[in-house]
Amino acid sequence: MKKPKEKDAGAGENRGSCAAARARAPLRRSTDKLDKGPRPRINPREVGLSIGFKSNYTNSNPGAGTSASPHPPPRPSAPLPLDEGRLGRLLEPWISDEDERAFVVRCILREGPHHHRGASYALLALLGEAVERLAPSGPQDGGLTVAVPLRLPPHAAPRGQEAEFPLRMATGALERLAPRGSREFDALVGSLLDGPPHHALANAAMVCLVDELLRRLEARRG
Amino acid sequence: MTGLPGGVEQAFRVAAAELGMYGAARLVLRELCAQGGAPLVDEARASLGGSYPVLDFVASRWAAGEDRRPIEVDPLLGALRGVTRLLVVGLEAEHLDALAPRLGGVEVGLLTESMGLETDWRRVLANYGGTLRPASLAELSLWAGSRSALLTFVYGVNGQAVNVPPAWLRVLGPDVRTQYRELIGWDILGAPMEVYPRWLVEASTEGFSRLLSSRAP
Repeated sequence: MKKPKEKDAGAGENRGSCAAARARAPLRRSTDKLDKGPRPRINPREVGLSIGFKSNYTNSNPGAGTSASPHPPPRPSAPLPLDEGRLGRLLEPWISDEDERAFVVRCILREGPHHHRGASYALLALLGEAVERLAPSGPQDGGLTVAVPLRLPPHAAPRGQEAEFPLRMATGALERLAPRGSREFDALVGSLLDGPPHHALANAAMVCLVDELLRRLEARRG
Repeated sequence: MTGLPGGVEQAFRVAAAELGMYGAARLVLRELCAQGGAPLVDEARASLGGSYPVLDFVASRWAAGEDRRPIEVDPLLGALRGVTRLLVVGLEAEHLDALAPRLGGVEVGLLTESMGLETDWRRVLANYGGTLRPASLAELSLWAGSRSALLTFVYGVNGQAVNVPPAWLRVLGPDVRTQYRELIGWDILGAPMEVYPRWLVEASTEGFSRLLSSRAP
């Protein structure tokens, strides 16, 4: 029982040190009101420093600046074994540009709720492993794909490719579930790409991997 | 405490409003150094450092000449490869002066949110001859895109914590994070400040896609 108590006390002290520093640092000094009245307009770039202002300021609080250790940000208790490099390599066939790939990987593994990051990574990594166990099905035929849109408001959206994520979702595999062009097909695509970007991108990446997995399985079957 | 010219604090605040805390600190300290040498710089630090932590930091490095290394832009330009639109959050004129001329082909915006000082944004922007455009918080989406980047100034890294302009926290909501390809922190101090970082707010290093130094090692 003693150990946790000591730990709690330590955490409290840490919080206290910051609060104490804030308390020692006055929020506003009486001389701040000087800023509200009219003051000479100078352009620091043109005249350099002008030190000739009249000021009532005297430094009445020289000890106001006190050292304080910033708090570490809150961290989830259970660390996830997320390998951004591994996911990046998996996505390379669909996103050739390294920086664009890093953007998509960040959205999937560093944005959204903690459990989504873990779930998306587990599913994508395992799908990737399944794909890698099968021989390539031959050169990519540039099958039909659909854009994953950024969630921008309508007035900001129409800017071509910059309003889309750099990952496009392969749609060939979805034809196994509904005929292309049907309302059902479109509804499936919409369901996969709806929602927050981390979710939509993970879905799109999974469908790309499943599409490739099915191609390789069919090629193996001959 | 008698050597400091009257009004030096007010002059610093006016300068900081339009040059940024770092640029203003260097300007003030340069002038004071010319007037009274290192003792006057030390006096300015003792008198104003507690209220202006960036000035305190710059003064602490002044004597050693550690703050006179040139601003290194190349790593940042590398991070901006392929970016067509850059929105800057925060104001540090020396750094923007070094960066802006090298951003050919990139549309650059400056978020017109001050750090609590009275900033005349028209005058700030006039210094860049139309290279920088004003942007408000309501226009964040207009600057977003898969080839867009957000950049803010970081005032020292301390473990997993950094100090940034308050506007950065208003900008960086969960939605916005996925609307910009890069979320870049550009560290202008190279070390944590020694006094409590008032004027600034704390953020996590994990919030950036890249954290770059503006100083050569």
